[in-house]
Amino acid sequence: MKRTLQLLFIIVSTYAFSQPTYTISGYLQDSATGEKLIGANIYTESNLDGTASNNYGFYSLTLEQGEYEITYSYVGYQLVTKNVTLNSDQEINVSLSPSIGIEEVEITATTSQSVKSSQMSSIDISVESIKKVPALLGEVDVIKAIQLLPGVQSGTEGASGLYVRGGGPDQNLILLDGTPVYNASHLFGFFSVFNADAINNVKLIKGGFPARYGGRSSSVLDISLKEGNLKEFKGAGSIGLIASKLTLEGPIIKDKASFIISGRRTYVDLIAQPIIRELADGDEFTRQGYYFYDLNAKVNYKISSKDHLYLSVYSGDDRFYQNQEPYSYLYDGVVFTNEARSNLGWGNITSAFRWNHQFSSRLFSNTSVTYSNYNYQVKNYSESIVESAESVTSEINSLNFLSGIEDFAGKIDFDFIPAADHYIRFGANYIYHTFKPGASVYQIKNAEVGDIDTTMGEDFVRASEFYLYVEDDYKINNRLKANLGLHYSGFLVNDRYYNSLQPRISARYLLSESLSFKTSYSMMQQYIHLLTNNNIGLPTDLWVPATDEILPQRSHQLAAGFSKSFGKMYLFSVEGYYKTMDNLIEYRDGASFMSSNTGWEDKVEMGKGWSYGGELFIEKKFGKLTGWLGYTLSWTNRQFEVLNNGEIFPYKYDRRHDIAIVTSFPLDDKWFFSASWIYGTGTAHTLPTERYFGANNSYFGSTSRGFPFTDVSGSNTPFTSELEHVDGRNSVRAANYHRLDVSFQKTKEKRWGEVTWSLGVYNLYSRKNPFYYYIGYDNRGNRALRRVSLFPFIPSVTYNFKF
Amino acid sequence: MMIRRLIYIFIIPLVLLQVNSCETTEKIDDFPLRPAKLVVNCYFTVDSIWEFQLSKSLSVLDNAPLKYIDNAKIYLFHDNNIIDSITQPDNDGIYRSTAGTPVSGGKYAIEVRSPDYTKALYAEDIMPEIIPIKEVDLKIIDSTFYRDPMYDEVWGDVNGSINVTFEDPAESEDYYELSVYSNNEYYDYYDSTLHVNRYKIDFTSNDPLVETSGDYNTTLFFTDEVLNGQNYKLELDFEDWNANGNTKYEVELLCLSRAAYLYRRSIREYNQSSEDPFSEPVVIYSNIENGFGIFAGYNTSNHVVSLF
Repeated sequence: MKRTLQLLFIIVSTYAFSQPTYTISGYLQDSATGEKLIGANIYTESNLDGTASNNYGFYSLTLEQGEYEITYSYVGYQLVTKNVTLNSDQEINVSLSPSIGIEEVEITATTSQSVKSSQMSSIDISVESIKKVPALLGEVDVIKAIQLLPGVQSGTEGASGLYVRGGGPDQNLILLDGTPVYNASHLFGFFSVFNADAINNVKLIKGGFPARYGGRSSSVLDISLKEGNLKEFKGAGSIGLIASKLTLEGPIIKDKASFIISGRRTYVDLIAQPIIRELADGDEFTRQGYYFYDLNAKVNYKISSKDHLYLSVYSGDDRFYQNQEPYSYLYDGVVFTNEARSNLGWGNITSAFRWNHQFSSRLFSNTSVTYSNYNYQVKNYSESIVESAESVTSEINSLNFLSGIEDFAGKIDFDFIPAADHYIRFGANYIYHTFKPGASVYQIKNAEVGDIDTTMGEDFVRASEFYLYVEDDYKINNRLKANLGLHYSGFLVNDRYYNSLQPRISARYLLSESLSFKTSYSMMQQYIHLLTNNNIGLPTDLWVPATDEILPQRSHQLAAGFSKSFGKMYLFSVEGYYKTMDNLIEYRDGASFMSSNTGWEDKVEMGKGWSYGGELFIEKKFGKLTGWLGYTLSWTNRQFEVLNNGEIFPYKYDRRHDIAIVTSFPLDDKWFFSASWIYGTGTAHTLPTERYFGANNSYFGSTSRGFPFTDVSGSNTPFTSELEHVDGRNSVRAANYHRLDVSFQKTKEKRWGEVTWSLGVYNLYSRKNPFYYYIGYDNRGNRALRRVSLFPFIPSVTYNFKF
Repeated sequence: MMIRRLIYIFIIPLVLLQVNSCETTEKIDDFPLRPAKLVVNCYFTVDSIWEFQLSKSLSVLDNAPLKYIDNAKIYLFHDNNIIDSITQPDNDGIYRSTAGTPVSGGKYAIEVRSPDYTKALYAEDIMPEIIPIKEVDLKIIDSTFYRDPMYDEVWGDVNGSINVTFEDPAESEDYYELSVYSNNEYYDYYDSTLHVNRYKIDFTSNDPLVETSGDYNTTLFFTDEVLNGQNYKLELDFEDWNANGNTKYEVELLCLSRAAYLYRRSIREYNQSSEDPFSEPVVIYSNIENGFGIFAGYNTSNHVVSLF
């Protein structure tokens, strides 16, 4: 408290006793579309360390009275420079035009911003970069691109999980226009729910968390959707092997209101139908298949220069179905008719209503009301009718299983920029959670036996979560800059209140114009857990709240490193981190999500984890050849008192070495090439290593009379059975993982727009990377360790168009 | 059936995905190919004969069948004093001792040596004291019986509750296993003999001792963490679908050593998880040094109540 007051005093006195200052503020947008530019640089020629536009394109730069040349720059856009006589507050809105070439000073500003920012462990990745990364089946995937960054693991082959610096998939705050997304996967995690055509900006923070973020322990993935073209009607789309997309955007009122709508659907079910029917011996009555879709829609309305409204909605669903249409057969004079339908589905709906308001040139606010719903449902229905000469009987069985999580939330965030040396943010957030941990409704209708209607499982749990925060990005002197913040959060569930005051500190010290040392400390607390099967991203992954028995998760992370720009084109960063995690949960031995009758708290154990390592990141954003190299050396372990005999064991996704090389360059005017090579040492698996005769639990106690293995009838038969010994959790290392993906793109201008053909190959040399292992038999009948691999060489072709 | 349907629903899409997957035989360089170890299985209780089953383990990738060991020597200790050495096994690797029977409170240990193994196997455990059942109270909530006209026997189903009272000693850490058996005596007209049909009955309980409230159990494992030193009444609800006029319910309360408790619990989890492909693997407990298996003591208290 004392330090906080001291800090406030310094801030106020700095502001009170400086020279007269005035503020230039306004918005930066794309001149062609009106899209707001996030993170654009605004600086004076004499001092490249100016400011950056916020998530809504707003900027504010306070300087002493005088004459200035203000430069506005953003990657991929032409510079704009304005001469400003600063003797009063001024509003300057700037439109930047896309450029073909990149100017040197823009490169310098971009790389300089990375070196000079107090934020570390953070990467902004452009949608253009994401689209260049070769993708599985040609489906551009935001999450898959993120997985190529250092410190981020993907989990199993093809999965869309994020395991950041040793954390689990539930420890990532994934925000879509400020709304949390609870399950970001289609098709068991092989594709993410994010449609790159609808996205404006992607930011990943792995450490040094600013105080404005909270509720998760390991990372923040902040995704902003596009707002829609304010100038003219545009469209883009693609037709791929398994899915197609279409995005339409345009003005509702030119320069004032716009919309964007973007949809994607797979047609695997249509393509696979004949194959499935063939596999089912031509069964005409059964239809089965799978599809997913997602839809993003957004409307924005600029009420005035000070007020702006947004409404965005996301809806996405995955569905497996098997429908057996009614069919009848005659047997022994009796007609039997059967019908059955099975349906497994999961999906998200999110929506956000936001209001930006500019109070003054130095104070900006964003107020949001959001809704997020993730649910997973299994429906099973069958009906059988038996008709004989004497009677007609019928029986209907139905089973509905539902689980999920639903949030209603409201928040307000302020950006207050009182001086050039301070960028203050503060705000508050409230979330009303409804947890649906899993309930089954089982019904039987049978006139002879009677009806059954049973609900099993757990009741809904309702909880309130809130947080308050304040942070200041404070330029202490020409070399030292720090982001100092406090995040206070609380959680109320079943009359139990948890709370936490979390300090957040990150700082950078400029060693030279192109080299800085950065360090950070963050404490994070999260009040929700994800019960997840460690082997595959199943939709049955369950979000559950902290309870009396299961405490909130907490992490402490310390990081330090250097950031350097080389020759203006290259950015180099090296970081080391150490993170501890408390109150993690894992399924106990033998537990499974399948036993829905058992309360989830009975299935888990609480323990701790820690992760430490180093990350190297070299990035080239400009020039013909662009891309990055990421390398991570890390250790991640867990310890649970009840699991693994209380001994430390490696986390399943503990990879000692992880390398990603991503590159792209134009071959000529029309052809573009990109490639990515990924290498990771083996993840940890739990496999039996030995087998032996072990006493089983049958026929024990008084059922045995002197001979421990006598059965109840008295025969002298030993009752041991063959057991498999597991050394310990995650004690066996899988084979190393590596693959090469390539993609060629050919672009052709048309009268109506632009067409790009993408030809790609996933896993070019068809490496049989491990998906999972089991002990089985080889083709000679010998016991063998069997490896199942998922994706060999997979070509893809995608037709992309823009108009 | 419900669970099987759920499993079936998951298997379908996974099979679809498997269309493009492939399997290979793997050779992981550092996959642990462990040498064989000695395995001993022995439960001992008051007045029981000492019996040990000895065998050897194999690597999970070894094709050979598991075999018993017939050339080992077992040294049996009571309170650190050797009381027997056993060398001659019966069939199926069973070694018996003639050194008397275990007593409550005794500390026992074994050392097993075999010429084929450089390291001797060692284990120790105690014989827990008996904790008697003080009272069993049987209440019938609902029952439906019918008379079999051919054999003039009464059969039916019973819905009831069984309350078991026992006193936990305060001075020790105690581990329990509780089961309820139904013993139905019936006359088999085919072979003209009296038989006893004995089986465990399912029960549920809302008692805090029961970890999986709402689930059906046939065996309850619990410790004295919650009830240490108390005179405790455990309430169980049961259904017996196969009762008859001669049915007797036998409550069996086993007082296990810690090793027996941990081992038997892990075996139960191991057996249950083998049916569920999505379950977490189970590490089976063992108190054997340089080997596998279990060497553990238990004591038994029984109480019988008749249905009629």
